[in-house]
Amino acid sequence: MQATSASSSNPNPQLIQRAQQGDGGAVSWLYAQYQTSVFRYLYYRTGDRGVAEDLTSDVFLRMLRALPHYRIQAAPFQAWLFQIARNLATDYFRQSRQDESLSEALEAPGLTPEAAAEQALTTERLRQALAGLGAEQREALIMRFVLKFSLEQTAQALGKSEDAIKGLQRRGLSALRQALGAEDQKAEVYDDR
Amino acid sequence: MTDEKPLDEKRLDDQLETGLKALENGQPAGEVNLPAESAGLKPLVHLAAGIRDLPHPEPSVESANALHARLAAEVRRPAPGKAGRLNVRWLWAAGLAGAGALFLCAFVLLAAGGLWWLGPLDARTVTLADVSGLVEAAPAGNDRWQAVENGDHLGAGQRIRTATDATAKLVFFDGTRTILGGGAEVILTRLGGRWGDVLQAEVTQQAGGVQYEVVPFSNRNGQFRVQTPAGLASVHGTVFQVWVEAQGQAFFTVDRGAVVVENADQQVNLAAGQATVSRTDAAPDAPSYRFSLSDRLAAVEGEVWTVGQVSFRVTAETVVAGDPQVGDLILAQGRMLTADDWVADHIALAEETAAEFQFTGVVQAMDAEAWEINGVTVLVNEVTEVDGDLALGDTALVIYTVLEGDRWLALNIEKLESAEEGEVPGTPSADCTGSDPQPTAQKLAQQYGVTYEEIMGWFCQGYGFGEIDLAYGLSQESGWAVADIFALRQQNLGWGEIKRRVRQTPTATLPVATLPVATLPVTVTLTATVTPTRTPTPALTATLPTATLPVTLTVTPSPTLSVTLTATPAITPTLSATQTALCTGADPQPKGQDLAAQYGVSYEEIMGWFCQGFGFGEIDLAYSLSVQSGKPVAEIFALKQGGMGWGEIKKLLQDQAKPKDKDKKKDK
Repeated sequence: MQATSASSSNPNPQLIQRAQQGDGGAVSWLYAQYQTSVFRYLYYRTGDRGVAEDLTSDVFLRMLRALPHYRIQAAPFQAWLFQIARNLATDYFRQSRQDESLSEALEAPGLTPEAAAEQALTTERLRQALAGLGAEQREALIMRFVLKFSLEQTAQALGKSEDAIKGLQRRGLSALRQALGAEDQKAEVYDDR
Repeated sequence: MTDEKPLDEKRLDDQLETGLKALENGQPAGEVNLPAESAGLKPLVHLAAGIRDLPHPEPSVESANALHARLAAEVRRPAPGKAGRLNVRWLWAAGLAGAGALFLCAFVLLAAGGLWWLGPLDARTVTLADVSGLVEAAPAGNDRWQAVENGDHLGAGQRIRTATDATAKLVFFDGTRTILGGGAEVILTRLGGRWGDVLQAEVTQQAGGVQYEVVPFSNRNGQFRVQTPAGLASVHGTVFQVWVEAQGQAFFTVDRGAVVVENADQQVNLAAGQATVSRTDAAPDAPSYRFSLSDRLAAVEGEVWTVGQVSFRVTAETVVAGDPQVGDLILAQGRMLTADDWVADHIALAEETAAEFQFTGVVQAMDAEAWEINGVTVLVNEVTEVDGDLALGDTALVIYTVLEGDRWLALNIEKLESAEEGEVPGTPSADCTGSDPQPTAQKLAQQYGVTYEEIMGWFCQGYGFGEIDLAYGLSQESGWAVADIFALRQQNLGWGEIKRRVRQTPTATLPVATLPVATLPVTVTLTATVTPTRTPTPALTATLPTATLPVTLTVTPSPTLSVTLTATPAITPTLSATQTALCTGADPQPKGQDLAAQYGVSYEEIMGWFCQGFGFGEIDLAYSLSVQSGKPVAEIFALKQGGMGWGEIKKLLQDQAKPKDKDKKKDK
């Protein structure tokens, strides 16, 4: 039995304050609430379970150290936490000298478009197809559809307007569909490149 | 930056967002209405729905527990900067106010420290997380149910229930998690323990299915118990599930660790992979290994039901939810009383999901082509993924598929660990003086051929047995010294990073001259980096014994010189030496002949695939999948060549077959 992962939402200010004061229970709650989302975000960014688990550790340890300086007025907690995760992912790619966009982009295995379109979507195919997108589209799609963030939460986490996210998600889904080998004429009409 | 866009684009963005919003509100993708002008957005809505519904990866329980323990340790540690500032002020204040004030303030600090050690109230509450659907709580002794949400705290005596389609997670202060499935109800009977100490908790489970992930306790005071109408489960750090049925019986299954189940003054001990059933006023059944089958119900003949091609008994005590009919997707879970007698305990209609067959048991024989696990023979070949360092006598979870001819092929065999007490990283609690031998340490010492004291030495430095096992395993694999591997850990590197570093630069202790001579020559050029510098730098060329690629070599020519070599293969062979021999027209290969006869195709056809680089196990599986799915073998091999794993291919073919099955059913 597996509990479904509900979308994360921002904790109440009192809980944040308690965590800032070193309340272990509040820190535990933040960890339990966001651990899966942070891990999934990093998994789809890096494509490596081990790396994602290590970076998830780093995110929460960094969160703990930075919590006393966090101001709730400056940014919602979730957006702030994912900014830490984004920074660490960027550092990881810089230090490992890997190009995120070049990592194992999906290649259709010599199938007809119809056969490719019939292929079931799996997490591995999704990860490979996401790797072939631009960074902004990739992040927008991960947050909107993997982590199930609302439009507003995604905009906050990526520091963009909601309209910008709407555009990113439409173009990103089109590009993703193409990468998954299921692009058809109709969808091309809406791909504004 | 402005977000100005052409009007038509903005309209499309908005219309897509409206469709996505409908998805978020629970509308099925097929029912999302879009204006006629933007019907082309429908595939995007479907794709978004597909991504949302995927079973996205979860962090492992081990890494989650380790991180939680580390966070707890960090929280307990005072911030150094803060302490420093306090000290300066205090010295000044002490100078002015004298020893009395110093004593008073020290008392205040000590009192605060003491209170912290006693812990905040949260140590005696659980926190709700991952709430999905309607979840309610009621205080002890009344029925005033109120909806609860993420972040709410619940104390001892409170009751929690989930609607049939709801789930929720209860998080205890030490990271222990209780995950309530749909239709579950529990009471938090007891919540004890202190922050910085171990958990002492009891949950009364009245209905539904609940998964318990209990963080291993660091000392013997820890306790976690689950009371059901038909038995009590006591654990000491483990992952297990309990189902309580309306009829009162309870099912207990263990994924990791060990559980003691007691009822009617009798108790049974469940190890990882085992299950039992307990009924009101009766002793729990003897432990058995378990099975789980998820596929269409293929046949019902008396008490024998068949799912896929696997048969089991359904008895008067089997709980059957709903009214499954032949052709329905079902999930059947039960116990293997013997290798040939599988009895279902619980059957329910399942969601549209890929078929999966699995069972647990002890590894009794490990031959090259087949293993015997719990009396059941499963084929193993290049398709089989084996997780963990399995040996005879270990308990394993087998995920398998059924090939033509009723042969079972293991797709994945995973070692199930019986975690021992005291495995929390960084919190050694076993007696480090060695009074009571620690069984896990004894096992590890035997496994790696080192002394018990050596293993306990690492344990007493704060490493968990899981970490010690990993470090020794990596050491054997790579030639690195165990101490060097732990040194990386001390630099706060995660195990994922450590594995990567160690595997990238394995250190072989073979002298260069003893590198083996090839029978199938593949020449690689080795670039040497020597530390400390030696002139001239050795230029090395090695010939490898097999054509297994990719190749990375490290050689240490003398004990004082470390040489790191990176090998760049000059060719990428696709055939093994055996394959090369057979493909050049040697004697007929019996395995190829068997498969040709099995699937009614020519020997040359089988050997054609073999000569393209596929193993006989893969060919067997591909033909079997072809028979089951109706897909041409060539398409199945094309999927494999496209980079998909066999598990993925199997699921894909099953997914594609489903709508056709439905259509057939409708036609009937």
